[in-house]
Amino acid sequence: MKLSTKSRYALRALANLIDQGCCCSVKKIAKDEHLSSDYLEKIFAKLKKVGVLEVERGASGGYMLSRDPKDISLKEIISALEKPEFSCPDVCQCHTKNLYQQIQTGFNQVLSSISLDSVDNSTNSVYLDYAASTPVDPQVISTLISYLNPKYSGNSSSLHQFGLNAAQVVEDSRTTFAKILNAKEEEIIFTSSATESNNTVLKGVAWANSKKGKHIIISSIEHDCVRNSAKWLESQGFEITQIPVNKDGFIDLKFLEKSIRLDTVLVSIIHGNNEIGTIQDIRKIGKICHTRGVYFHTDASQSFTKIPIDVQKDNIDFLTISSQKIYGPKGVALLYVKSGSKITPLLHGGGHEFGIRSSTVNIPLIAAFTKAAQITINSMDSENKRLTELRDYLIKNILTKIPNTHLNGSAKNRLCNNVNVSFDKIEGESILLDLDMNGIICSTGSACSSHSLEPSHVLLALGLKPEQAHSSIRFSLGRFTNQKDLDYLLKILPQTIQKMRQLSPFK
Amino acid sequence: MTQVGYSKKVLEHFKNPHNFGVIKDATTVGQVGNPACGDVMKLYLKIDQNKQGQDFIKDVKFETMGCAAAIATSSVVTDLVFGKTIDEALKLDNKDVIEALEYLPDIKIHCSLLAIDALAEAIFNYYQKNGHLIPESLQKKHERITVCQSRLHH
Repeated sequence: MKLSTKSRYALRALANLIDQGCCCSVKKIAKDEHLSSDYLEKIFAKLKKVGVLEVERGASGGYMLSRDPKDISLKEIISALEKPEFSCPDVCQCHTKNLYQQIQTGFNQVLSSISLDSVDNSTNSVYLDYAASTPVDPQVISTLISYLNPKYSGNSSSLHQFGLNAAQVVEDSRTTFAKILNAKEEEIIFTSSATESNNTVLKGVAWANSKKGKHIIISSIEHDCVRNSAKWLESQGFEITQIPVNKDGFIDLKFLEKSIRLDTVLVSIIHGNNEIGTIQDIRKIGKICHTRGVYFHTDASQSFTKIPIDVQKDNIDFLTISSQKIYGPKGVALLYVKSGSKITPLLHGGGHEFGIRSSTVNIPLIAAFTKAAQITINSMDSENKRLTELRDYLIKNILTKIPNTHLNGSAKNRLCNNVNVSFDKIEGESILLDLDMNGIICSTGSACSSHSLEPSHVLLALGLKPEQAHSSIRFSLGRFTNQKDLDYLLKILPQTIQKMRQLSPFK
Repeated sequence: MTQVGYSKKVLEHFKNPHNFGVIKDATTVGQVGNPACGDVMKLYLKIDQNKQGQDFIKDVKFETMGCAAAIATSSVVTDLVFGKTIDEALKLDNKDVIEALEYLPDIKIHCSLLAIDALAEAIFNYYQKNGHLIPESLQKKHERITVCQSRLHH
């Protein structure tokens, strides 16, 4: 089967039909797409015959999709219009028959897996929420799909060839990450999420070392998964100390030194903060911990591929990295565990991942995560320089164009993609929503919009008043952000802020 | 099925709020909420007497600092009370507000209460200023709101 002009026109016309949002006449679509109306009518008639399109009754007589675009596959559309290409008569027994059939099957599988919805990329949104999650890189999608192949569908613990194929993929991935982090292969543990990695460290180290002591140190600006793991440990009889930060978000190193006790087993400090972007000096922190014989963990979910990390030079015992922040798929992450470290697993089972994380190993996700890391690391220097320039351009312009606006976090030692600002006298969620209505996707500094109404603990830790914490917005840039996006934001944002300030009783 | 996000009505009111601004010669004003919690609503009422000699809301405007739900509930409350007598306005509760907005996410229900509280406070202030007998339910409501606010200030 091939994609002829007919199919290409059909896809264009269908994408247009989705954009219309309702029933539409062939004439209008033909005009929009510069196609012949008669030609398109013939295509639509065929698509109607196979149930992709329906005709609206009445005089207007337009076409509409019979189902949600997510439920219509490209295979349905293309098979309605094209003749099968790779086929030979059943009687034919040539050597290539099998191969042809395989190609045909593969082709159909791929086309069935793509929905009409993904053809419609009419969204003109400016996505500035990369710190929340990144879109999967197209090359990573290819990797993901290719490792869904039956060849790799074995259980990596099995000794047969299917198991070995799978196991080899995981070991190659381990090698890649070990090289990137300057670690040993057996120190790389694949998990399902950064939340799981962080839970494993906090609880696993606490349990395994409780004979030495029950004291754990975290910072006051940790991600909720570290914070809430620590809170839970507190309820189980462990003692937690939170290290305060200064107004730029740097932890107080003297306070840290003073807080380490004989019964301290773990210090966990976030590397690049997810909300305000402040980057801690982990090498120094690690050194303090090691001089005092205490394990050091850092959550590098946001900083990995934005700042070089060398687990040996940076004195790291445990390190968390996430796939979905580096253009990889969700559902996979990594935990570096320095060899010889005492840690109890959360999940007991078949002893996968050196006994630290039992569960059948997820080959496609790990392979895709690895590919994502390779791509991102390879372009790290140039990409981070580009993002830093864009970030500083955005910060400078927001602060000069909009009065009563403040940058949160350090101006200098900050993640190259993070911009977090407070707008006095208004509330973050209304800014977020108004920007969303203008096609700009960002996030509130506070968690108010999602599950909790409490202002962000990170912003409060900087010394912001609750009302200032409520008024903050985070823009996080990424691979597909360009100058044009930021200029559009800088055009809309002052209008949004003005509108919200007009509504506010505080002038 | 659980609805994700805001209803169409909330988004409409948020995008184009009705009756926002200040009434310079307002008869009474009610303000509730606390900036530390992220929501403050201020409701301005212009009260006049209709042909039957009853007090009625001749004009209404609001100013709100808050999330989309806070802005939408304020806006819809102004629609609900416009032209109503005070007695009718006092009968409104937060369920009427939610109904007028189709629905509110659970975590935003407090916004509908806040909007009704702002209305109650404006009417309470009006009654108090004019030496009008304050109905027991309104007095109780006022006390609850005041306690609530002072607790928030701590």
